[in-house]
Amino acid sequence: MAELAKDSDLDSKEIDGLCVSSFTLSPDSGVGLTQHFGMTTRWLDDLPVGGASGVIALRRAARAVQSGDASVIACVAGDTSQPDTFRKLMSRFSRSAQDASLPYGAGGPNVSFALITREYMRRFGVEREDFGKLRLAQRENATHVPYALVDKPSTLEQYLQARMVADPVALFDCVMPCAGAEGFLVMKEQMAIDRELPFVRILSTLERHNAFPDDPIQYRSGWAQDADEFWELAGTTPDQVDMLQTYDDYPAISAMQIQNLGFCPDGDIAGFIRKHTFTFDGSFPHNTSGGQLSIGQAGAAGGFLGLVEAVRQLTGKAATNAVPEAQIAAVTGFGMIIFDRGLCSAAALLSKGQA
Amino acid sequence: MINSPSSTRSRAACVLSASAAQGRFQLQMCDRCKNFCYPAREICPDCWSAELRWVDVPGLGTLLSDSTMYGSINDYFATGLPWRVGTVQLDTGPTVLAHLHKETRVHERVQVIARTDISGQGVLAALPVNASPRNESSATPDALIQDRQLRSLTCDPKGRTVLISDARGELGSAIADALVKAGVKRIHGGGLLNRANGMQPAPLDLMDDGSVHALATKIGHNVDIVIHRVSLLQPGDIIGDSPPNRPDISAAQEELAANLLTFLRLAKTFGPLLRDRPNHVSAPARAWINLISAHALAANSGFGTSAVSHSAAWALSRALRAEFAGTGVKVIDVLYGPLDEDVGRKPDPPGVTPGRVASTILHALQQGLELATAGVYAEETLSRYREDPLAIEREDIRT
Repeated sequence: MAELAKDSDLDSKEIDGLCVSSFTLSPDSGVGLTQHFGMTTRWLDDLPVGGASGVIALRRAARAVQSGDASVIACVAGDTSQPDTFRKLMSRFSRSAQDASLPYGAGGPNVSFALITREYMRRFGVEREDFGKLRLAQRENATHVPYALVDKPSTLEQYLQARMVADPVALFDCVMPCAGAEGFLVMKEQMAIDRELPFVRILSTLERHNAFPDDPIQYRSGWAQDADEFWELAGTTPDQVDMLQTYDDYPAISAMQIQNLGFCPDGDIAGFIRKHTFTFDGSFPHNTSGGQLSIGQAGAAGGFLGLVEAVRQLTGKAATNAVPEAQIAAVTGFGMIIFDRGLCSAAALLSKGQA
Repeated sequence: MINSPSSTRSRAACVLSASAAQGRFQLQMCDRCKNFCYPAREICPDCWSAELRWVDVPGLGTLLSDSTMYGSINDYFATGLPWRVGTVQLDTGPTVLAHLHKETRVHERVQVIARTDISGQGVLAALPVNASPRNESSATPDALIQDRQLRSLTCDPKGRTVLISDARGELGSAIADALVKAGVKRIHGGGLLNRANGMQPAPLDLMDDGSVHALATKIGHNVDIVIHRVSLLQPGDIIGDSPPNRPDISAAQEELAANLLTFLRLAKTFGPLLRDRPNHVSAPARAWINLISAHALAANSGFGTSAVSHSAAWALSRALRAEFAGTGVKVIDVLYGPLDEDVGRKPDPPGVTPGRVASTILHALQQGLELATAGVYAEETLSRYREDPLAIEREDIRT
């Protein structure tokens, strides 16, 4: 919050809306935070959508600002990470996990995503080498990022030979839980111009929960349902996008986001991965900060990571890895794995703001 | 550290556990749209009807995906890695996560069954089925006990040490014979004076605290399975016209002492020893078996206060089960119909042979069932009881 105020040169009292996303805030909620921060807000939201929280926070805050319910909304996500935080969180993550996956030793997302990954690989002919290519590009990106937890490059051999966690998910498919926070401000365009603040514009967003509930095993999510409208609203096409930030807590999910949002129209995700390069200076810049794979998964803040990176890139604030002449960034989010699938999907298309 | 799988369930999901304890696989079916759902819900996700009914399902399905875990946030599974689970699409519709038998293969047909694990709650397991549709409904009887991941759902007596609290008579011999055949390591036969049917004589007077404690001190730390028979059963009425049809208070006291207090004494002494034994993910659960007359379920059995004391023993058994939950001990109730040796038994229905009771016990152990019936009378009575325990009060089921 302090960084947001400092960076924007706003008086903290000017922030009259707050959107919070956190798994470890209990027993408090967003409302408790208003007192903690000494804020008197007229708009408040508390999002339980995990990896989709960044895009969804942006979406809701934008509507609130647009309709005049608030002038400046701080969207923040953060979580703590103590030795047993992850286990405790996973032990009471959802009723569905409690009844149908935790009893099988499959607490936490590894096993659920392993089952999805196996089917995804089979269905679309994706090999571990393809996932490795996505992961290595992220690790390469992270070598330039000062706040990355893992800032060393990796080799395909290391990726392929990493120890299995839940077959076919191996160590470098997983992200590391850590502590951290992310945030951004939402206001009307004119206000940003008046204050001479660098900004991005929202071209389009989508949000969908529990998409395709009848798919026996998840191989697609809400992006596939809403992609057409998403691009139509923006008046743009996937080939005009300069970078994509996906929610990357397993490469199959990144691949699903690329595929479902229409970046490989023929659906051939394996061919797409083999054709492109994914570093910030590659043919398809992807997770330019290194993603959660390198920076770590700070709980719900992991759901903000891609969005904040996209905002930094488009406002010229990326510490490193600036995608040259970037005008448009796509951001996707995916959240809340229950016993067999992730429930929340979201996407936003952002363009560089011009005063 | 609790060395057990997770025992936390939603209230709705406890029904799955209750049926799993009987070896039944039940899912909720919507009474309006007839769709099945899983995991347990409060309303139908298709039509929002609240009329969800638990019904037995065949459990046949196809294994869609599998994964072998090399780590688990649960300490119990962490000691048994690697551990393989998979996603099964049931023919009835829903997909479920299940423990996998080692011979299951992705995209092949599987049979999903429900059992309680050592947490005391229900879980699902997928077994291979014969490719022939004719045979696909039944998995081989020892599929569970031979599988490293599924054995702990059973109480297989192979290699185990058993105490039979009252091993006398034909019933004791029949139980011992069945256990020996199943590969039991040692049987202590309560009340025996000499070695018989592979049993070692164990001095045990269940009416005497000192005797029970002495035996517990001697053998208690080795016992894996306790088989206790609630045995005294005498015909009579509470307000019958005259003796012998109206046993007096002292007879009722004797029944309660024999059927409830002996059980309580044995449970208080051997229970903690059984409870505190270590668990292992690939070892069978330990077991406490109670042989209880099916008259415990009926109000109008013609066995007066005797049936009441069996009913009390059944209540004690349920309380014991709740206390053993999560410790690695399954409490198994075997409800038996009238035995040939029962006093005052009428010719109908046909009596249950000791061999039948013994095979029921063995089946319950090897299949990991917590409730089983021996004989048609017990089966019928339990079935009526399940439908409506109050309606059974109105029936004349005197034997």
